[in-house]
Amino acid sequence: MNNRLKVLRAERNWSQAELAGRLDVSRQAVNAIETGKHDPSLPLAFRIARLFGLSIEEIFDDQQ
Amino acid sequence: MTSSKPIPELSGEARLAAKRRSFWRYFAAATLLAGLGGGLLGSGVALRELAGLSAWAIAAVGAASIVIWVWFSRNYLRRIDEIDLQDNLWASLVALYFFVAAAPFWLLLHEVALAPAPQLMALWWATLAVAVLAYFYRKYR
Repeated sequence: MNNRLKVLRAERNWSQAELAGRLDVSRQAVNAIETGKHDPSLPLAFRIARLFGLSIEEIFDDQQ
Repeated sequence: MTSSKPIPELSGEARLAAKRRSFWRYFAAATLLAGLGGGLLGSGVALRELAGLSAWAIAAVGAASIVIWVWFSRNYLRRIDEIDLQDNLWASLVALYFFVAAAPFWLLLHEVALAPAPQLMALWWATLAVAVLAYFYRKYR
């Protein structure tokens, strides 16, 4: 699944570790989501959306 | 009356570092405990031969070790994030499939006199090795 996580993170000047700490996941988890190796669970997707003040659809795109 | 002094908000990096430190402390303590348990069981078995320690005493220590191990595993799986949990689940599934296939296959080879009788601990170690390899493959692929 495509996502804008890396762009949103860069806009805030956050490292992967910074974002991981804010989401309460590991840095590897942030990396895996950004590179599309892992699709986050619904609760984590909501946490990400809330953190950036966006809807899930504005961050994640299920179109291949 | 309680003080309403505001708690300084930590950065995400500081929170992650604190969480990692806490996790590794927990992991080190659990590993130490497991080592002590294993040592206790091993020396118990040796003592049984030397000093006639009751088999029930050794069985009780073994059962207690299993209870502690189950508790630790549950606790550990609740601490890790969803990706690590998924890696653990995949590794467990791969190991289960390995065991389900390998044990009867070895038995089959034994039945047709192509291999010695299946060794329980050899299968145990091989299953563990497969689980560890599958876990690290998923984690670092």
